[in-house]
Amino acid sequence: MLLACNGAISPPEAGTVASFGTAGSGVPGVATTRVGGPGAVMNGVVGTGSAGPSSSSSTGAAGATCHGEKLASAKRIVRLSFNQIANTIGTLFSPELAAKLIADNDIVDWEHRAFPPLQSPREGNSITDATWKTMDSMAASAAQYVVDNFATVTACGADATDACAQQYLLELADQAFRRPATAAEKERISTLYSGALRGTAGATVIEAVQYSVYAILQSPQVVYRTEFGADWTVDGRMSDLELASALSFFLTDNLPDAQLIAAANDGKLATPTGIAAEVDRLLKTEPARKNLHGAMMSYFAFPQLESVKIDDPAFTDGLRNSMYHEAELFLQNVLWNGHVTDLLLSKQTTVNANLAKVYGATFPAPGAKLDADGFGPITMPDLRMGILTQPGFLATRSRPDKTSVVGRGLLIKNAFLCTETPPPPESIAETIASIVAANPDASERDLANIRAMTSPCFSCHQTFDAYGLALDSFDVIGRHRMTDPKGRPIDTSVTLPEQVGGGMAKDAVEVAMKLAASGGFAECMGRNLMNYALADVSAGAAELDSCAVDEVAQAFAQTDGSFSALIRSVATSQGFVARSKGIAQ
Amino acid sequence: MTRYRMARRSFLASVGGAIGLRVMLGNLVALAEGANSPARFLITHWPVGTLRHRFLPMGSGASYVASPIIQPFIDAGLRDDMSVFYGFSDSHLRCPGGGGHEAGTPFTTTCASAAGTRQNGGEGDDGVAGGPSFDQIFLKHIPELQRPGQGYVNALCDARVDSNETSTQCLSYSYTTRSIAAANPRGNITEHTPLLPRLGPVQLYADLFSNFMPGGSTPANQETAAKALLMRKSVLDFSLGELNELKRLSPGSEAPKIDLHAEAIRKIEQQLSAQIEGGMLPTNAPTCMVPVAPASNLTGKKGNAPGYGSEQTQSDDSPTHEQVAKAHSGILLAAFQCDLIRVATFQFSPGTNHVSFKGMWPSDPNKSFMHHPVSHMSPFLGNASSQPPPSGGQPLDIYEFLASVQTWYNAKLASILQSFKTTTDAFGNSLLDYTVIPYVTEVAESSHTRSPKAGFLFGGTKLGLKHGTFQNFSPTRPQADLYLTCAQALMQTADPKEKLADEKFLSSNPNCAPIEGLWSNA
Repeated sequence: MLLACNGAISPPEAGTVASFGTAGSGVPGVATTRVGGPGAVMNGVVGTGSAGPSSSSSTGAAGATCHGEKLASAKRIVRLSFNQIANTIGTLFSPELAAKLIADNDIVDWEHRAFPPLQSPREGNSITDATWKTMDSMAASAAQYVVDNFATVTACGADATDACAQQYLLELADQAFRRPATAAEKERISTLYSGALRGTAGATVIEAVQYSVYAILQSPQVVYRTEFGADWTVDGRMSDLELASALSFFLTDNLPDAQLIAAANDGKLATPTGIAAEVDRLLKTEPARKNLHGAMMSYFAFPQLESVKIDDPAFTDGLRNSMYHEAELFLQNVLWNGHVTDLLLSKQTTVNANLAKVYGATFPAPGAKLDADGFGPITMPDLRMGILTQPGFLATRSRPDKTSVVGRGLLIKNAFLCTETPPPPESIAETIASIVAANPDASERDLANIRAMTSPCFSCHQTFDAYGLALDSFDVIGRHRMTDPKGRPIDTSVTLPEQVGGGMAKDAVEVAMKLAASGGFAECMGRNLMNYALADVSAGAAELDSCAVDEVAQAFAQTDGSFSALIRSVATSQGFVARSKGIAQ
Repeated sequence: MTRYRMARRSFLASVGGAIGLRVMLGNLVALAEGANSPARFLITHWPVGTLRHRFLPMGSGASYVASPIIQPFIDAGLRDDMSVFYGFSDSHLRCPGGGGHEAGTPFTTTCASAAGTRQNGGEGDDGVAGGPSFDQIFLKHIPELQRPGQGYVNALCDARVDSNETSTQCLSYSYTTRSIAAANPRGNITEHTPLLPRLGPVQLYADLFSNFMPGGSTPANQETAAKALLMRKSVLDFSLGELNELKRLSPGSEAPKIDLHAEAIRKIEQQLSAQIEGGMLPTNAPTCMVPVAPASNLTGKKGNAPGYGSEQTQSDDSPTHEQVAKAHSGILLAAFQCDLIRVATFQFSPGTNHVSFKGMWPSDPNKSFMHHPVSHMSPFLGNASSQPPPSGGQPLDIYEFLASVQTWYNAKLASILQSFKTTTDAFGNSLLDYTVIPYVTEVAESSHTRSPKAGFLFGGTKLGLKHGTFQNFSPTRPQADLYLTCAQALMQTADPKEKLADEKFLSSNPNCAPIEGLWSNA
């Protein structure tokens, strides 16, 4: 399934999807002429001109072989999440209304979403009875809002005419559909207003507007994004307006703003430069930063700090909150001012006096200014570096009274290297229990050594125990320690798994450096962001070794290494802007 | 609960109320015109199986002596409304890669083998459903259970899971299938679509009793309601038309998504059509009880909450958990009484239950622990649930904690069932007498074994169910046998398999049969 580089994308077929308005910009030809040209996607979007074949196996920059398609997903429809619908309504009418809808419908906030949000079992990729009720309820509430604020919202005055009312509805449809409504769609909206509501039901103008707004907001044009491009029967990029929506919901969790719509209509999203310019613009906005920051907070599981139980008198609610806030500030700084690897390598963080005690750092640092919450910058002590050694990060995965080498090791392997480890089979439960029972006084290092020598334990544990052992010099709330609770010295030197290049590391700092240098971490972040951007991965997520992720990794390797550059690499990749041909079934 | 005489002094203001009132009035009028109380079906579920030696009663048949875990039902006066079972099995069902609770939950309500596990961005053990669940099966096959609109609701009191799982927080599965990406086996598999439950009581309430406003059913108000119905129907017709357009333009792979969406709308649209055609309603309809709307902030928790290794928690969730359960069950009871629905599912929590309970840890009653994470605490050997209580130490703490939590759940359900027993429908009959309520769990015990599972069957005595006994099956019987026994009462036939011959559960359970002696023609 080759894309563009072999001319596989068909020329546009006018009218294929036009009546639903998904053909592109609503300006005939804008999207389709660009999509149709051989090489347009390959040479234009990837930007390197050397992306190679899109399918089967190919060799990436680092010599690794990638698998599968560069196109991570087939042409499809993607439902908006509840939060995206609420945000859409907020933009169309009032942010306060959006907040009310979120509260009334028990929609999760931006830091507690699944990653990607549709992966939450409360969401799902399709609209079933329960999800429909929620969407219906939000649309009905918004329609009631229009009635309650009729003059302000519609600008039609108290004695609204049918002409004014219908004009308002058609303009609303253009905005809500994220593209101009087609002529057929306009006709159907007019028929609803004039025929069914004003005519058959005998509605007043205000009632007819209310129910028309209700209809528009629960219409499939609003609650789904299409990713069809000019012709879903062939590989190819999304239309420019589809891309604008995909990009906007990826970055801001909301519908595209006027500038992004204008960029799409002006053909500026046809090139990687044009897409990158919009990415850069949006990443400077508060909604994008809030959305992506929330996504990464959720990804690193910091919300778990709210409920984790730790039996340490120092772990007060104040310290719990301080840890959470440190994570927020750390991510804000690294995501928008640093490099992706700074997540692992940064020595800078922002703490208050309570947290400084945990760090064992002088506070405030000489010359440092404190913010209104009493937080100020410090340089982490010698044995710390990056998110791995942050108290909040360590506490989220601690047991109430002791650290867990296995838990921490698994976390790093999963969250930083995107590698899942299957749970131990029930059949070895007794083996595990007997090892623990036979070695009541064993240190964490001793237990790790036993696992390394015991079949079948070693086959999995050799891939992650090392990370946990290197972090064992931090206690349940992240204080540095030289000995374990029984007074035995802690040895943090480890032999690292092959996945990060093997070799020795003497402590957590060296582990962080090895993780960053291996490239696996950046590739993992690229994979995660690609899947976040795809939103619905129920029909296929981008895998770590896929060519879609490899393409992002290659592009990212040519950048300054910032988080913004990683977002840009995802947003300009074929995996994001194009789709393989739809599945006819 | 407030007495709410619908026909004489209730009315509505907005969209939902117009429909809700008309539906309720219509249902009650129709109910009053019927010959008898209708049959109803409610699947209930408790998490994490049981502890064999704390569950098994002494003796069997009608003379059994209840164990502490079963005692709450006896204390609630439900002995004669209840059958107790031990020895159901899902061991013969297959779901490649499915986890203990993750495959077990769909197994326990669909009784069908499944294709594998869904790719959910988390662990790869999230088992899909291989067939529709019995609530949907009965809804399809038993016209008496059908009501206008969706005809069922699903409620869940806590939705915390391990890792994005859908399977553990859903008892209800549609006939509609869809293709999804699988974690096991690789590639795509077909699943029966989960019909996710409502977590917040206020959402469940809105689904069933939205916007009923004080007022009166004057002719003018009825006219307003009829107009609102027409306008609402126009909206739904518009949506269905636009979905048709989308389907026409979309790849075939997207059709199931669009069909599901359209199906959800069509149920409501048909309900509206019936109400519109019903015209003006009489003013002397029977009455029913409408619950007071629950607090908007009362809801179960949700999200990923692994908790393994940190089983102890900061606070005790059980008071809120109980309030959510009471609110949900009160709404379900009222919806049955007002005849808005006749089918529902009610789930306390996912099998991977993260609700924390205080006062159940013998060595330190001040500590709070999460239910399911404790079931995997070390040292608690995989098969400990099937062994006699340990002699002491942490294993005993774990054992007693698990037993106490199940007893807690049984006490809460007993209280709910008592309400069903004492609440009468439009004919003055006990709701419990006409409601068939299986109470099931997703695993036999904490080690995830699928056999022998405990189970209960409540209610339905006026439908012919004969209760008051304990049966310990040896050899084990498929869980499907419990549902076939329900089917006897709901379908009023000794051989319900004949009418269910095309159902998928039969291919997974070719030898299943109703449990003997529990039903006779009422």
